[in-house]
Amino acid sequence: MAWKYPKRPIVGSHVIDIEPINDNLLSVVEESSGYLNEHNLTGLLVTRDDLPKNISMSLKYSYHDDVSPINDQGTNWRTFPAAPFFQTKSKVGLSITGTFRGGPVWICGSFTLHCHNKPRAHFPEKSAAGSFADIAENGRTKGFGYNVAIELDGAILPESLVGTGDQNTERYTDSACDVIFVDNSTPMKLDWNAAGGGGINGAMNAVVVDAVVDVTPGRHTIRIAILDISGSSGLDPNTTAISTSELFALEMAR
Amino acid sequence: MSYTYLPDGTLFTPEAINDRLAVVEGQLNSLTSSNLAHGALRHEHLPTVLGGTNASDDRIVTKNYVRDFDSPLAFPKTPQTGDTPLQGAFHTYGSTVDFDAEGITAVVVMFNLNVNAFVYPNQDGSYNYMSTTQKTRDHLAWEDYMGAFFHVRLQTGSSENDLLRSQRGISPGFAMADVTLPAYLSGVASAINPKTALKAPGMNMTGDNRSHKDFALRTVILKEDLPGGVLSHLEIVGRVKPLATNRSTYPIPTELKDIRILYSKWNLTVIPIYSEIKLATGV
Repeated sequence: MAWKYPKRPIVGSHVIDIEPINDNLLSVVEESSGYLNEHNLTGLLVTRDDLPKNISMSLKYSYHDDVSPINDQGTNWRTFPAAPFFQTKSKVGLSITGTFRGGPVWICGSFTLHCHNKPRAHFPEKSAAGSFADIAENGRTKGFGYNVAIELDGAILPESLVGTGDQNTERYTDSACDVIFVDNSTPMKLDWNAAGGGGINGAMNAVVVDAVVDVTPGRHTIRIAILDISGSSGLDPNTTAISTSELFALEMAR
Repeated sequence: MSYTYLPDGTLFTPEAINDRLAVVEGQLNSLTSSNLAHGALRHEHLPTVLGGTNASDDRIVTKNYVRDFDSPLAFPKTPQTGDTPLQGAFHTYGSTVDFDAEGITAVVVMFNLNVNAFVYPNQDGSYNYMSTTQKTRDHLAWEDYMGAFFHVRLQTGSSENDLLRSQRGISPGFAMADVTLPAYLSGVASAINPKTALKAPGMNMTGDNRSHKDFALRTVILKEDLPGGVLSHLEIVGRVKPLATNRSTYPIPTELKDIRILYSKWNLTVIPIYSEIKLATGV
């Protein structure tokens, strides 16, 4: 409710005391410290040109430029080792550190997630003689897939998690199945190296991960986090990579 | 805003009252961004920071395309060597969006596409789904060697700017591993047979036969992305292509040189905002 009238109107015949004076002034001060509304503001004041850019939103934006998912060599891609825990990088496009006023923030990451050997080999077709000798094979099988999430100050935001990976119900850990990960001579039980994916899976994935969270006033670090489920997606240390990536945090005034 | 309280017993003079009124008046007439940003304005006032300053303009764009999953369209329709627009996924503004004049500092773009499958065309105009064994050694994941890529293209009058940081890629919906099936699943326990393995209960290791893979991108258009800071047209463009080196000893199969995707749904949303922008820098 806005202040519109003096709380204690003073008329000519009143005996003046300090209290009504204070009350009348205080009501103005209190209302203008957080409770102004349309009764207080002219249309002119609320036009966009009259407002500071951070009137309602502040956008922190980070992107990785000069990189392409089409590139056969994987130039400038960010690579991740095959490790069964969330990994992050303090690189542009994957990380933002900034000072927040405090309030609701829409955090959104968008990137291309790769799971294949780099550089890409030539096309995998048999030669006329049926030979495969020159064919790179280290990207030939995929693992269980990935979980992707937003990390805020080192903590994974559960509501941002993308990808499943329930190894109990999806049968990817059936111990009766033998899976060949490296070559035809060394099959291993599927429950040792889960494969074929419950998570985000495939050679290339266009992934979006986001969440709306309340952050406290102060300095925060936001990162995109990648989990290679069971560490199963990297026959080569550089199998998992991110090419194009963008991360932004849109803070809204509360 | 502060107020110096008059203690009881204060000598009542016009100066004491006027001093306090002057302070309040002065502060009320010079509200700072901090005053406004910390709650002086309420949510009723804030919708004006989305879109342009003129509510009648077509600044906030939402478009979608929906077909039945069983009757998808092909992209591209004909063989292409470069990027080509995705049919319908564009917006031409009725009047050019002028960032400065309209108080726009950034534009958030959200695009999603449902890709039924990667295919290659037959001569009769129909399409073949790809399988894991087609023209390849069974256990080679040739999803590594092809992809569909889309990004945002901006136009300012006759000038074009491909926003390449928005480019994303997807591969066919394979997720294959070589599996030796136990007898109770396949009846052929000793054979390494990926095609059969793909049918194992619970497995999603199928060929790209309507795998319905998602393509999703989010990006932000800044004023510096646009020559002159104005935007007249925005569209989603892309390509579908093999990616590996085409050696003479291992040529790309003829039918796989012309690959396409089938898609059934997409959604494009474009929202201009009035916001403070802080760009992260570094490597």
